[in-house]
Amino acid sequence: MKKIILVLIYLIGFSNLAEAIVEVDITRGNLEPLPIAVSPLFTDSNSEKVKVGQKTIENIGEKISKVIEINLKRSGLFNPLNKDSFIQSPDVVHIKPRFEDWRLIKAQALVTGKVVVSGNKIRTEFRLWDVVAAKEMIALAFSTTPENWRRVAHIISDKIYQRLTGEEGYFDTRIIYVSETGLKTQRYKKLAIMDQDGSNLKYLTLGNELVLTPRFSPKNQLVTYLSYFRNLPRVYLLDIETGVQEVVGDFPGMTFAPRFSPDGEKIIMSFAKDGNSDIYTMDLKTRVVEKITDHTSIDTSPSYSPDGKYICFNSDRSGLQQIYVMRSDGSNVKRITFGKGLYGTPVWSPRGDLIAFTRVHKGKFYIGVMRPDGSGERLLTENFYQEAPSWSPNGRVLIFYRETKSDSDGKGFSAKLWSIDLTGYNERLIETETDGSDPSWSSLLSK
Amino acid sequence: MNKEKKQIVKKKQNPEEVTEQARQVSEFEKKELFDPNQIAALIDKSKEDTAETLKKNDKLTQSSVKNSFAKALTLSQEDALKAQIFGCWSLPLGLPYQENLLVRIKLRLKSDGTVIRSEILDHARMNKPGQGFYKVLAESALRAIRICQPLRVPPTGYEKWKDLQLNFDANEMLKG
Repeated sequence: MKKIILVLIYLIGFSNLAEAIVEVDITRGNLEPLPIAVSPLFTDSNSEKVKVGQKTIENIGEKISKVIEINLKRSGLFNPLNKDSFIQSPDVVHIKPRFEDWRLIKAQALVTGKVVVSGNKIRTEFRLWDVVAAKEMIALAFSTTPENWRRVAHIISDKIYQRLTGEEGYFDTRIIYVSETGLKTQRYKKLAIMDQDGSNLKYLTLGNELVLTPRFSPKNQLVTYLSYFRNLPRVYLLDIETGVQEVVGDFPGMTFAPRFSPDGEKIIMSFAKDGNSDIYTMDLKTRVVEKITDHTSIDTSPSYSPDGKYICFNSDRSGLQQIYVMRSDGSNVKRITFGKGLYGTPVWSPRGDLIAFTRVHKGKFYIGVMRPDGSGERLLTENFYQEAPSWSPNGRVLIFYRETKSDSDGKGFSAKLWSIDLTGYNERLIETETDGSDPSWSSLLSK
Repeated sequence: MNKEKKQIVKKKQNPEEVTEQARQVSEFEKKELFDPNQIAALIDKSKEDTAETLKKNDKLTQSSVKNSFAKALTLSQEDALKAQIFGCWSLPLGLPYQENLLVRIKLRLKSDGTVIRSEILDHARMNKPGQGFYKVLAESALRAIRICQPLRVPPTGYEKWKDLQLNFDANEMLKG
């Protein structure tokens, strides 16, 4: 009997084996940026010159494609191929790409398009093609006034990014920061705003008052920042679209880093009352101030989780500055960092999955990320002095500022804006007209 | 020592100290107030760095177990096929590394390794909310197959490997 059972088991096993499909695990590949060909957008002879205000822009299609190419390259995820190697002309390729030509130059994706000027509008259409599968992936068209041509380029870049990564882009965004000039011992600080690629720079304040820590609302184009009026800190709200500014309040003692709640209805900040810094919120409609932490230690840098349920902040309640997470009503405070050195400026990712921070250890400053429970700490970049990370709206890139050493007279000092993505490899200087610090990234303008 | 440190740091909070020359943006003290090296050395009794270290996986890989059973491909044949596809697969770099990044594709091959048919086994995942990255990953795997074909398959034993399943797993690369 036993023998029969064994034979049956063997036969069943053998028949399964005969039917088993061969499986091969592919666990390695190229981690190189995706080769993409961005063909110049075709512009017909009637549309070659476009009036933008007092200026005339020639070959706007080529300019739009250049902005797209730079955006994609700076993301670190794409490798735009040299246009000299393109065989098909922009008008023909937009209608019917010869995919074998593009495969020859190793392109895996292809961007084509066309710009037509009609009256006081430009109509821009683009197509994204999968070169290997020989099929169209996305096709869209936008009509707008010629002044918005750079925004059209950013929106197209976002659509390409989203289609090829599965995540929202971050190109149609702005960055607000503190523009700095003068010696280290005598800095003039102005609020400045620019597109994420550094274009369209505007100064929002004159530089006669010290301005600090501008922060965008995650919901709209409102900014909150801190300014010193007669040596006393004041929290302001500024509407970037209308230029209207209002004082939210004068707060006692040293006030730090006001920041919006995820719904944009509150600001959260820390200020010192009776010599002790705690975290407070202020409802922007009712102007009611609520105390969130009540501890003898210094609690600063609060930042909400995107669902508004939690707040991360830094505190020296354990003796050294570390990062803590609590419920938004101030309950259930938990320390999440235990590494050596100091931790500060925690900022919750818009995706909710990570908290970015600055860490100081052995005289070096690091920008890093960790999960909200403190696990998975990764230090992305190390330098003499750097801090204040701010997330891109898709939670993929961090912008921060970095300072250089100066001599005893304050010469040689500089403060520059830098960005780095979550891989820690794609670190880039963001060119600004003056020195810059304390950057904050807006949400997507076109959302 | 803790007391001393705390007093020093509290100075920063004093409004009397606020001047335009001072570093007011920073929430970290700079060298004027203390040397983080010394403070850390003297005071920091906190736990060791908790930065995660990934554990090496010493176990046999899934594929080696599966193939030792199936024996449709020898190890060297499997390695040759893998090496070919490794070179063709461009991983989308923006993938969320904490997600399940496995795409299983079933192929029907010709005897020369040309692909007759390909099927994404977890196709339903493509349309699930929050899984947009999966479509991108699956497309990258399909591109790899197209770029690579004809696949490097053994000259004999067609019936055993004409149906082939490739498991594209980006987790190891992105997390490792």
